[in-house]
Amino acid sequence: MFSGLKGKLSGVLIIALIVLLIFISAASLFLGTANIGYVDVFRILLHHIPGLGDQISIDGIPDSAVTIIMKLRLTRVILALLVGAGLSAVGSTMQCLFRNPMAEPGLLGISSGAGLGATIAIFLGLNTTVFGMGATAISAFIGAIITILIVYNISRTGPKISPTVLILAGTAISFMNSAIIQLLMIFRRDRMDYIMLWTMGSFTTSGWNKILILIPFLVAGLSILLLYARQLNVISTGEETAQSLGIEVEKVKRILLAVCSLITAACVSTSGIIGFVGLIIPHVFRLIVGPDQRILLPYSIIGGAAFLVICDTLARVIASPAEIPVGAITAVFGSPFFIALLIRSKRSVM
Amino acid sequence: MERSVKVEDLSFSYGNREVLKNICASFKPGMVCGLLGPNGSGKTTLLKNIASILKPEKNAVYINCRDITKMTPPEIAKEMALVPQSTNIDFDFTVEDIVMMGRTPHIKGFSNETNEDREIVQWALETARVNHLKGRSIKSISGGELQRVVIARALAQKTRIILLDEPVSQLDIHHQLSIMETITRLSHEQKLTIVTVLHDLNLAAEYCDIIYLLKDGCIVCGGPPKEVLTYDKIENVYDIVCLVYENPVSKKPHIIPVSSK
Repeated sequence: MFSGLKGKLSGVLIIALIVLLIFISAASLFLGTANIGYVDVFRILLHHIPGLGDQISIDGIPDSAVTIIMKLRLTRVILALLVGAGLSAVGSTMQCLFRNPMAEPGLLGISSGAGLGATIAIFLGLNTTVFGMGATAISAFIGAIITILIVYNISRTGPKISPTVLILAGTAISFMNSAIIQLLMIFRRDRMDYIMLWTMGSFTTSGWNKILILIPFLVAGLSILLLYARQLNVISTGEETAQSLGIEVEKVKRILLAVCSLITAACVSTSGIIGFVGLIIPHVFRLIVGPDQRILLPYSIIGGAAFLVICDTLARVIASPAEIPVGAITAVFGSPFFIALLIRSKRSVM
Repeated sequence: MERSVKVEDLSFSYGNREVLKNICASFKPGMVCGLLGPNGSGKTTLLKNIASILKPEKNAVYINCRDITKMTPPEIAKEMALVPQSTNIDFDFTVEDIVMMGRTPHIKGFSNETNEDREIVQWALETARVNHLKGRSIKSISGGELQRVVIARALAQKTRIILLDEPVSQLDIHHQLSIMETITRLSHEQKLTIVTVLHDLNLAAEYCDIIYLLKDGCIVCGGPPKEVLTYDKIENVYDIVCLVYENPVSKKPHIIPVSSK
């Protein structure tokens, strides 16, 4: 669809964006409370690449620095990158699927369901671990899945799903979940901070186990979303039209809804509720590269990853050594930027 | 094999309200068939049943002698294109993007469009006279232009059957005539089966080979314009008083409405 210059241009732009993402990730590794020189950071990283590791010595670098880079900063950067990519891809897909500019991963109650699940686990003081995942994360995942199943069944008439009912039911359940979270918080004042940090999103408890669990969800999920991009373009112009063009709309809707729910549940249960990424990043890139999902989705994935790495770096650097919830950063820095973009695009239309 | 559409004893209800009652009709290649009738007479419902947007009963709608309920959506979309009554696209696609979507049923699995698809899209853009709008955003063009773009998308589908729901009601008189001329020319030259809902009786009289007149979910009568568009039938179906003359140029019936009854 996008041919000629536009096609080439978007190719160049995406490479530029990938380079930017690598640069941002690297910069994030250098920044932090502990002062570690960038040469040391490189040596530590290279040392841990299999095969190459033996050539690079890390003698003379304190063990604490190695731990900070490998166990703390690197896992945080990777986790932020994965979650940003996932949430942004889900937002982009849902906006198309429901033909609704307000659609985002939290819309269907998935995030709040995960929040409630996590809060219940924290409330009960559960701290068992299964497959390296903490009880909080598992409980969050279960909460997310239960919520989406409830919302899905409310909005279903036979095999058909009404997007309007789906969104309204999701919003209603979101409010209910949030209310229960706040009630539970009042009853467990001693754990209020912990619940708060969770409901506003944070990568403080990152770790390789979380990354390893998140990767299969994202690789499989994002591949499916990319495969359906062309069909999604047609659906975004109207469901009846898509149907008359031979697309099995209800089937595609069910598949994409399931994939989006799983990606969101996986992301939110590892990092807490991080709003804004899924809503704004797809809009930003839609204004730049247009609505073709085959082009927009890769941009959203890389853009979302870069955005969340930046936000998380700010979250741990700004008030260092204290932590700011990353969800607050995404909103505070994202909103003005987005509003500026909206005003600019409004001007160009008028 | 003849590419035809056949409707046999089709009834359809929205909930308890029966909208179509025992409809029988057949639509043949090389003919433009008009569906006429007052608001709520079931024209659009009939068209949506044929297009399989609404689920018709079993053994009621046949395409090339095959029961449509036994066909998959891609199979149907290769035989039949639909131009809906109104189109509302929220996203900023270009006109060319939208017309390219007409190729959807022909693009296999998850692959992308080929050069052949691009050539067909170019032909469709030119045939519907929207080639000059090709690079424009779909949100920046007028309602009439959008209607022609949607017709181009249906043409790009390259089907033998095209269903249209009031294709020209939003167009100015020049584009009304030009679109109707294009449709009839395609139908006659390429032996396409055209089924179109129309509101303008005179337009239907000029361009349709066969007209079905609907009232309250039933077909009142069907046949060539001269047999169907008589003053007594029109007065009965539409509850109006009218005069019917012969158009001195085309020798087709020409209706002059006088008053409502």
